[in-house]
Amino acid sequence: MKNSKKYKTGSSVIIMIIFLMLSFSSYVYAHRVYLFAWEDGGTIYTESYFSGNKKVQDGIIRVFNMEGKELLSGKTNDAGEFSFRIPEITDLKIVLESSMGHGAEYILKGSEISEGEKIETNNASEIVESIDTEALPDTDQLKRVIDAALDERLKPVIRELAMLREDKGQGVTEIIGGIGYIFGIMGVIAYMQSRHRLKGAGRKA
Amino acid sequence: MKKKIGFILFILMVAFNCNAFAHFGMAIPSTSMVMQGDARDVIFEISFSHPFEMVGMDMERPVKFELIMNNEKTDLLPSLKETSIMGKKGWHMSRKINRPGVYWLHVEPTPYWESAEDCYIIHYTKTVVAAFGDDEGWDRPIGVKTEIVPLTRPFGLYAGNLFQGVVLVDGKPAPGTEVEIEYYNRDKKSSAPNDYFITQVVKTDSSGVFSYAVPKAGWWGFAGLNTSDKKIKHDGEEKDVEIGAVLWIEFKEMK
Repeated sequence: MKNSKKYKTGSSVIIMIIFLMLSFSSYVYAHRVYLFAWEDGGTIYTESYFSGNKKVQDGIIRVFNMEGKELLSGKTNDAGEFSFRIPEITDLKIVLESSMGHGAEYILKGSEISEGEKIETNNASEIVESIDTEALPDTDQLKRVIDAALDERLKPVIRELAMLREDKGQGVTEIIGGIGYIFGIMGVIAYMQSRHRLKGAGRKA
Repeated sequence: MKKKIGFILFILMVAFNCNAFAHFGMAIPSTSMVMQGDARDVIFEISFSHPFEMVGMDMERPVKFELIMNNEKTDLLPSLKETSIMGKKGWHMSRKINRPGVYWLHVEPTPYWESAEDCYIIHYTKTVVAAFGDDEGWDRPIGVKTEIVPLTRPFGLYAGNLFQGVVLVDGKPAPGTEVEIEYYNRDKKSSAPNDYFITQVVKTDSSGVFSYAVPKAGWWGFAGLNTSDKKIKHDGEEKDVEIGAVLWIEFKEMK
């Protein structure tokens, strides 16, 4: 996904041949093509589609920064999707090239990307709220986000435990409190997973 | 003599009530289309009012308020907040549209008792917001008691376009249905030459289809009216229920 250097002369020739082949195929869709992109949990997702809900398959996606430097490129799958890890926290110009010269572009603002990064360092209750109002992320992202929250919250507990080893007798109530907090977070995970299961497969239509 | 005058006045009052005002279930989003670069927050305003004369009516909290996108229903009733619309009790909420798609909004109000017509009224009201170029699902019924299913894509429309739709009752086309059509005179700048113009009427044909060419840019409401097969009791007596399939869509001025 990330290594655009691999897309050099050999790949360019193949792409050219595919392009020429496709341009001789029957002109089925006179529809407009659309590209939509969004950030979630450190990954940028893109969807490419024609009006009439046909997905763009094997569409080439190129990602540029606003200075015009190509950061990465890739191809859409059968569902018109292509995703990649955030290359830079900056305004990104995502361009779709499809067969028969259809094209679309999407400007993803740096502010939209950096918001996503912030979520991972907020506390658990804030994460639950923001997930509730957005489309539900899949299990991997859920785990990543909750891992980050757990790390944040366990740090002081671990520190306390270390201190306790040297300072016996004190901080027992804090330890019990910390353990109680862990139970609370496990409850949140169980709740999110059960909600995710109830909602069924897939977060988008 | 006094009784006679009183009776005549009563008749006039009832007659006047029946003819003058057409009340519409209203569901108006702040925008009918969200595109790349647009603000993504859409505010929905829900009321039961007279859209042309801009006369409001108190509306109780709806029974149902849901967002439907690609057969997925989201219950938004808990987020609905009371507000004032045309000086009367109405409802509103804000929703962020973050993904491409066609978002149908459906409101089912509590049955409204219309004493002048001696019946209950339930307007099953729909409106639609299209986002980021996606148009899948614009022609799909949402499966409520009665609804208008568009035959013309209900967004990206110009004033002057012909709009066509099918009125369904219990999922089946309803021929011979009267469809009342009214303009949302939001800025109160429009005036009608006489009462006939305030609410125009077309009828559905033998396939349940109606057509209407919209003369002016703005929001237009279409209400296909039928009588329900079910009755509701009022003060111990069974009363008829007028069910309205209402659809609100926006038309823009062509440049």
